[in-house]
Amino acid sequence: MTLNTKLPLDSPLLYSKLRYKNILAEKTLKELHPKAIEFFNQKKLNPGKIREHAARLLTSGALAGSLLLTSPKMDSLKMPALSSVVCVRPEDLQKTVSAQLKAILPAKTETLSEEKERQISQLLFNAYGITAVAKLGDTRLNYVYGFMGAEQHLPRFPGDSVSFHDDYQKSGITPGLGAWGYFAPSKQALTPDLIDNEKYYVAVQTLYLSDWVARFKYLSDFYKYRKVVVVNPENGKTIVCDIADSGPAWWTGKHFGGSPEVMAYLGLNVGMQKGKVILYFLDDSENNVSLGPLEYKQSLNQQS
Amino acid sequence: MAKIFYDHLVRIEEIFIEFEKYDVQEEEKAEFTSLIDETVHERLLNLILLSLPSDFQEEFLTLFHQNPGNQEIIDYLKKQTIDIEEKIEKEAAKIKKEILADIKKSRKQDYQTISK
Repeated sequence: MTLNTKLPLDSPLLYSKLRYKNILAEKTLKELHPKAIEFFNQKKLNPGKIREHAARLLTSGALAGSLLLTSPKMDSLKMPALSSVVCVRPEDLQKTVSAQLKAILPAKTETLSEEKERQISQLLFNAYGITAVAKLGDTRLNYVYGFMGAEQHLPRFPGDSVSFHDDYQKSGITPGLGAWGYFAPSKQALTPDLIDNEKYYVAVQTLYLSDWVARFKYLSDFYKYRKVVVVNPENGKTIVCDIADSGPAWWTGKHFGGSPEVMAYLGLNVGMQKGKVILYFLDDSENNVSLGPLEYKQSLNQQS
Repeated sequence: MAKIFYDHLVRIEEIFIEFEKYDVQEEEKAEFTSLIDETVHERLLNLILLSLPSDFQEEFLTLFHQNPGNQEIIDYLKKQTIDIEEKIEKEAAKIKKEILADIKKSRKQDYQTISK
């Protein structure tokens, strides 16, 4: 017998609430913008299904060319095409990513070959359309495949306490500051972006980089809130995070740290509170990818 | 990845993290996700059209239909409207708040640890 400590939900009730909200939104749109609805009707398109329409455009090749042009070295890799990887449901996408990652990764955490690193970049591109790389310019971490352990919340502003954080308050809050100090100078200055920076933060071992001292000024700017993609190969769950702390120490046997929210999403907040992950830099210079779980938006891409 | 041009302004991932706390079948979760996504698009489209002068609406709809992920659409809207990015962010935050409240209200009251 196993204990499931998840909260019970009245799913039919929630479905009816969400459906009602959806009907209201549809009705409002129809009533206030009849010309727009006529436009969509002519195109045989439901405005609510716009993401599926966008996915069809992508997979039909109308946009795929421009997407590939922005991704270096992707064409030389023999991996499944976008259309064969994109799945409708998040759990299917997670299973696909997990299975393909496991086929690439060695059983033990170790330094990956450049070929394997490229294969993982290709896999993430195929699954999510993101450019995620082990090495960005001349900069890379010592590990991209390693153990991630649980971290506590970080203080976001002077006077912040764990009770001010949305969730996972039992994880506690660190007595010291994150690598970049407070996220905001005061509670009033805390923006939604900065809240997310703490919520989805990871710690990486910048202190063990061979060029950390020599390139300190450049590297500290480079790593400050740098976006990374973290994947749990066991379940395929994928989340976009930012670097906001340094650690863990080498003797812990861990290579990365994850905020309570990150660990919970990846399913690593159980047992020993650690697990193997892939951690790649996200090349997102236009800031198109928001922090948080990645597969839910993607999962709706294709229901044709 | 089929993106919509306003995706970076829509921060509703917290909803899906909330789902992880509940005992929900994956199929149900997929249905909820689909409904939420549709609602977001419809409400944001409504907001955009309310903010956009009618002279520009057809042009916007054409651009949107041609490539919903085109980031230039946001630049186009910024020229024709006021504070559109902020408005989209606020509407998305409002939707998130409403849905999180719906989830909480749908929690079964007789909560106890379930054994399977």
